[in-house]
Amino acid sequence: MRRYFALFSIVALCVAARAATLQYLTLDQMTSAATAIVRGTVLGSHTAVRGPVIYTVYTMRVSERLKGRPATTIDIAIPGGVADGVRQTFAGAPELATGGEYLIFAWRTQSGLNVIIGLSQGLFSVDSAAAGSEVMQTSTQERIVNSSGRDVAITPVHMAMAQMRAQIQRIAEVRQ
Amino acid sequence: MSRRLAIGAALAATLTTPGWGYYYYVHLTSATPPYSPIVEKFDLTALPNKTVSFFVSTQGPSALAAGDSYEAVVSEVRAAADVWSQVSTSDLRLRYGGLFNPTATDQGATPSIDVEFSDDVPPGLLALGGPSITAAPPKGNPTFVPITHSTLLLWRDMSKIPSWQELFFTTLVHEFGHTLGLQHTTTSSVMSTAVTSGASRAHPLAADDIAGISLLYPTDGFAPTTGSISGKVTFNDGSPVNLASVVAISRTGEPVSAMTLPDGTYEIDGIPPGFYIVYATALPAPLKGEATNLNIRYPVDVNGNPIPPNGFFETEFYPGTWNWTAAGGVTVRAGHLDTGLNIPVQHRPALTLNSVRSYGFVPTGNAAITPIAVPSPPALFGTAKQTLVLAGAGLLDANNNIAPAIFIQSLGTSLQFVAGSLRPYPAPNPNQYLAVDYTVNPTATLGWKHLVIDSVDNIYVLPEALNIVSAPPPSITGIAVQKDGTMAITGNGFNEDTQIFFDGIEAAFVSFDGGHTITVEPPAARPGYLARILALNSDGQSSLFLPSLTTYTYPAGGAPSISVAPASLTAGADTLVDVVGTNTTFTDGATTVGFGRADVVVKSITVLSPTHLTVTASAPAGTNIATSAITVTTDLNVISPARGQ
Repeated sequence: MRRYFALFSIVALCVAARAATLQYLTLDQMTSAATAIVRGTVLGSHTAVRGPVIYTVYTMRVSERLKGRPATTIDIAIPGGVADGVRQTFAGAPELATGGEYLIFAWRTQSGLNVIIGLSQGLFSVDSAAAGSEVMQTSTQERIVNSSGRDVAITPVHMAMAQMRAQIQRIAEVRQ
Repeated sequence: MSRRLAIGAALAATLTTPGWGYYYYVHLTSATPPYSPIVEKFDLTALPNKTVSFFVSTQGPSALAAGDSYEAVVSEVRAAADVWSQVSTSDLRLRYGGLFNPTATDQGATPSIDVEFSDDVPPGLLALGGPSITAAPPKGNPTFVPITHSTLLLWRDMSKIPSWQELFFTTLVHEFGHTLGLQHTTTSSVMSTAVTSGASRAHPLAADDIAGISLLYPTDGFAPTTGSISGKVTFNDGSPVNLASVVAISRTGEPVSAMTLPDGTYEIDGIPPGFYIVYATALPAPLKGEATNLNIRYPVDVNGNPIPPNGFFETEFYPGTWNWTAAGGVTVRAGHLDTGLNIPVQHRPALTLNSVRSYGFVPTGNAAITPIAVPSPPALFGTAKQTLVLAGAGLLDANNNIAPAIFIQSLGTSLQFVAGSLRPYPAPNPNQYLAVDYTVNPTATLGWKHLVIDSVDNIYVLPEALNIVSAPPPSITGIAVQKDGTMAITGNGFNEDTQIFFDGIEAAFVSFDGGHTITVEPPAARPGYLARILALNSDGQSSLFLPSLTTYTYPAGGAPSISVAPASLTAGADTLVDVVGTNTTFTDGATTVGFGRADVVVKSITVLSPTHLTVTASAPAGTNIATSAITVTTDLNVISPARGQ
């Protein structure tokens, strides 16, 4: 089995940034909290407004769904954007590239948006060029803390897509 | 002696015009040099009394940590805003305008800051903050881009985020900084990213933060007592470096920074007079999924297109050396600009060493107390040997061994690192930390000290890695309510600067016996309120550095409530509002009143008795504002009819 290996940029995640402040979630926790886990390609984007926040909503064509209801597309909302002549900025919010392929742990809000868990923690880039495909957790400059509010250093997840798939299914089975 | 936070005392001066420097949300008004950057900020002339109001949503957290309360959260929000409001060299003031109804469709057009608890904040994200502007590019020759509104979002489920934690407070301070127009810097200040933050409850703002807010909203007196430096950062082929972080750093003080424009030029303003060395460093790369280096919004051109950094480079001290002892210095003079501090840098394909953070254990002087590891830790003067822990990209190699050529030194002569003591640090997470032993030199001065870390192909400067202190942090060992209603706080490490807080509200100082007891007047709170009592010292340490937490439960009693008349504010005129309280403790000077809208101006509050006050409020023409939107806050006691009170 392919080894779950650590990346060299081990501490890029334990730094003190708070455009957003993140709370560290393990893969197990993200899997449990996610309402949808999807692999897909970004087709385009539009904006949506919920309360005081402007969201950039990326429409993705879903190629694989590891959790959640089946659908061919999904909208992923990321805070910040332009709507009604107003530009709103939240530093630290990730941007998705049109045509880019991602694995996303999404969480559905009460207002009906699908947002990425942990702003960027639940965002994995997909390298389809690798044999069997690999997924890599996006790192962040944002501050990450544990449940006690203490800073933690974490290692971004980088594994084969097949292993990620198996791990998510294992976690889902344990929860059932 | 003033008990108020003397923020900005070291920078008691101003620039006559808003200066470049620091890093803001930047718009460039020309496509070619010379660039004329303009920044996003609140238009003070459009705000009553140069004051931006902030409001807290009536829809508070859906869940709180054990012992926490909505009032405690509101008090911490107010305390965090006060940090920025108390910068004496900034003209901007922040005013707590009470609670607001987030579902109201008409909030008025006056710029303000809303603090909301959002169900849309996903798991794993605690807070977000940022400004809004008009999307159309600036036209004509504006001097700035006005912020029309700012938003600070907090997780609605705060069950795992107690409001009294350092984390919650410094997060609020940081997010408020974004709402006011500040972006990230590299200097370990509260607005920093990718480096250690020296910010704490007792040391919330560093010199870079103070310069940043003061340059954005300068008082008339700022410029004459601070100085400036300028120069250009170029690659070795002579091409300019865009978005290099340039830092003026002294051996004994806090750094102040700026970023270069697309033509490589920079100007750092708002520097306290003194001797500095200057270095240029590249911003950490945007990691996958992120938009930008250092998570900043890049400057945009006249068409709104971002202008990103144009390459990585090795960190260099002026005039072009890795050796800080060989770096050229500059004596910054008040009201003076020193030019020509040009820094040539060498291209690098990537930054292998970056994002370093320091940790340590707080010296308690009492072996019975298990200290908490804190970032940018205190280093106790006179202690034989202490240990510093470092985490950062590039410190360890792919096999989790110490990366080749890693060498740690003090920028200055305050610290002596023990030869051969650099080692992997096993806990709490193996393979993620380095440890190194050091001693504090007998000639060292107190305050923040910086490190320089050498690697094979670069150096890394870590500002404010350590804080040399002369005593352990304050600790509270007991409290006793006196017959006159005051409270005696006993403990260790107190001095004349020690501030006592009940959650986010500072207790009024009564006396200090010079030893172990400070007497204060507890802030007002509703009956049965549970308050956390904190001691903060001016050396940047607080009782939050220790694991024990002292609490006080206010005596039981009836729930406070108010009745208000008339029912609505008269549009376009002043209205005298009569407020009668039940179980209230209205106090002259401590009681604030707001109506949840920035366009309603509270002109005066007259406290007639602990249960009766009058308010003169002015509502704009064309509005219909019910007085039931009122919030009456006395210290920790928040009373709002909108919350059923």
